[in-house]
Amino acid sequence: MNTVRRYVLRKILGFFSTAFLISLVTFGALQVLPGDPATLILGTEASPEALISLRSQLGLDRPAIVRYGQWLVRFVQGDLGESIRYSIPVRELMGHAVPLTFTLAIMAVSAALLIAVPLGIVSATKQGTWFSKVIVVLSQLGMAMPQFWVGILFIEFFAVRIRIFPSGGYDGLLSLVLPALTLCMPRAAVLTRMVRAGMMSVLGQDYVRTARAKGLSERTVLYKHALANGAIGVFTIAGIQLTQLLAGTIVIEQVFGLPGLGQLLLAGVMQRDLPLVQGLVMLSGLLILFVNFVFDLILMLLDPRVRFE
Amino acid sequence: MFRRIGVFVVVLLGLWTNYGWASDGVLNIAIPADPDTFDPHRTVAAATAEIAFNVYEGLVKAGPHGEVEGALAEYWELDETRTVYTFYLRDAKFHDGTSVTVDDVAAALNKARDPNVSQRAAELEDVESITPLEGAVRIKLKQPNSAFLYTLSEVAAVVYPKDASNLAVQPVGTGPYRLVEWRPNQYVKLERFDQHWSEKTPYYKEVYFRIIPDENSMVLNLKSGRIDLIPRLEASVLHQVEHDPSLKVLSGPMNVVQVLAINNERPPFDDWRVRKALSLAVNKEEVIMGAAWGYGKELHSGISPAMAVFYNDELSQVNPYDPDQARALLKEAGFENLSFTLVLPAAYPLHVQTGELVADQWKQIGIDVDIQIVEWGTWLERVYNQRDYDVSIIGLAGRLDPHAILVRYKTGNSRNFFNFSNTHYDELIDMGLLAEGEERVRIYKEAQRILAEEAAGVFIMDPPHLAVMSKRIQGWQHYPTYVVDAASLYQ
Repeated sequence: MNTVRRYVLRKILGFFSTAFLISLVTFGALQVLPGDPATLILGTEASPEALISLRSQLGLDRPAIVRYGQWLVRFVQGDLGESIRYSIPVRELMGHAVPLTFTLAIMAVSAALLIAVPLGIVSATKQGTWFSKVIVVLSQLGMAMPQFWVGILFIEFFAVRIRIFPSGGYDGLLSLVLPALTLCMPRAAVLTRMVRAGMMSVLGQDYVRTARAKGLSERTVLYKHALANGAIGVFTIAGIQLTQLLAGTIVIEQVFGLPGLGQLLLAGVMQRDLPLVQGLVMLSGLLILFVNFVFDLILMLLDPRVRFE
Repeated sequence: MFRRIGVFVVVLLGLWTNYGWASDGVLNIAIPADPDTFDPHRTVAAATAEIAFNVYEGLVKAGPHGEVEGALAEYWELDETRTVYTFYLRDAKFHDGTSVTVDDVAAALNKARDPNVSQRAAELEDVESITPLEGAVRIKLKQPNSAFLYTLSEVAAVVYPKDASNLAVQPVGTGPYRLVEWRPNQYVKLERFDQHWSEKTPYYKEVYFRIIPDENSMVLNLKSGRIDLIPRLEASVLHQVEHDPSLKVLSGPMNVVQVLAINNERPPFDDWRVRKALSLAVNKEEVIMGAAWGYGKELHSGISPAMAVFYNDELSQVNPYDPDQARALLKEAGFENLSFTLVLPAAYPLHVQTGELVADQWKQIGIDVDIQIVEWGTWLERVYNQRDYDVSIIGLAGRLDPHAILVRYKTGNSRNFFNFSNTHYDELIDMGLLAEGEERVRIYKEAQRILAEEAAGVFIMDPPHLAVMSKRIQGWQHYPTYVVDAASLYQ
């Protein structure tokens, strides 16, 4: 178990140094961008005197390194500071946005899997039939259609014409159905192709033939034996899709007027709102690192070769 | 028994007359982004003023025709030197239930003129002293200032309890509505304030300003009934609502000057002939058709015709569309192969489209234009703050008084990112503040003529202000400033 402990330790060390780097890069990026919060608050009404006075009110007149240091010290203590854009604590802003974005991401990816797995299997086993061809064309379409446009079509149809879903905003789960459906489309399309390709590559293999030869039902062969191997890649991709969505979905949030992480991040960057942007980037960065970390651990447990790399 | 019924009827009648027309209804208004802050001394954003108008009031406030009317001041007096104003207060209550005192007024206005606190302090620099009296407040100016009352009507000069804190998210004002909740990226919720000094009760009990960033979604939300009113519709989506029988579109001037800013100091634009040529080569009619679907109002002056009294309507022939003369002027100035950069703010599709059309028109007289589309913060820093640009396009929000708009072109003014400088113009701007009546109008008309003749910039259009709402909504009023007057709406 010694090697395992060293491996985990190395991973944890990597975790923290990467997190530190992320915070440094985010801070640097906001420093390099032209303009600061004072510039953006005052807009075309600014005068040099007003800019100086507002900068000192906002604490922007201190050197960058001092501001970064202060942010870091507070962050380590669990204090994310107050948003300049909203005059509200960053923690509170994220507290409202995180549940929405997470629910939306999970809904979208699970829906994508629910659609993709059966369609992919069917199109792999019924190759050459019209049904399989239709699925291939649909998945092409799903990948090609711009999401904001699909979103607008969904609103037009489901919220304006037949009025079964709200046309925007956030009042509970029902508000997330259309956005989740929109987000799910291109992802389902990609996953369908993955399932199809994965299944096609295993269906010709010996162990499947053996399973069939044993007299197992076609269903058991497909869903138990073939899928187990054919689907490993699919779940990896689905995991990546999930982490991408967890970081926020700016376009879809704009179209549906959802107060998610994407909108917050956009507003933060537009206003050079350092505490807000830092908080959001750290959140999604840590999340992705954490997910990867967990995946690594699982992989290590499953595959002994990883430990000795 | 009858007596008891009598009392009951009287009480009922009382309720009915007080709340007769008021309803428990909810009004949903769509806006594209969150307000910035409700701290009256920090915000300069028009989008915030639009909401704050319902929540805050000053001594005076703006009316729908650009007039100034009493708000917390019932009336006021001006002495013969035109430097001492005495404002007599009404009995008014703040949203927290406390009464408005002369000390609250004095404290708020003193903060409004403190440059360490207020972003608009410079506009109140003529104030010498503010003295609370019995039931009145006396404000002494260093010199007469004809724009003073208008300045007092703006958000920067509103009154709030002197010990209020955290106004940025929890404003306490005296307006017909009070803010009850602000959820970023979702909505700002206002509720009817039943103790407003006017004793008029607004029709809607609750008003939501709902944030919908995408203009297509805004329209769909209006059609689905989730939204009742879009106070500012993008002209590009007008065709989606024009023919809908359940909706109505009310249009008016926005009192915004869309200007093609020219960096007057940077060669070759320091040559009057070059600026003049750029101006003559712009076909504004075509731009308005192409970028604003024909709905903009063509401009020839640095202020909008929305400011009817002061607008100089005799300038349309100063810079007519004349590409031949433009070409001749460039040749005369020795810049036949002129090339420069046109910087455009990506945040404003109207200005970007305008810029693309103008660049094309300039190319027809042989100018080589390099278009650069930049993000808003970059635009502000480079073009506005550092004045490091050749030409650009932006909309300058109108105000109630021409001074606030025209002073921008005065030599050395901190907001003069045109770097425009003209001695006679500077004199006129100084005179304008002191003058009154007809004389003042004449001065500003002359100032506008100078801006046009000197081609300080190219004044293109006042973009259309399109308010779209459900047919049942009545009482909409266009204001010459950024205002959604929720208290005047009913159905």
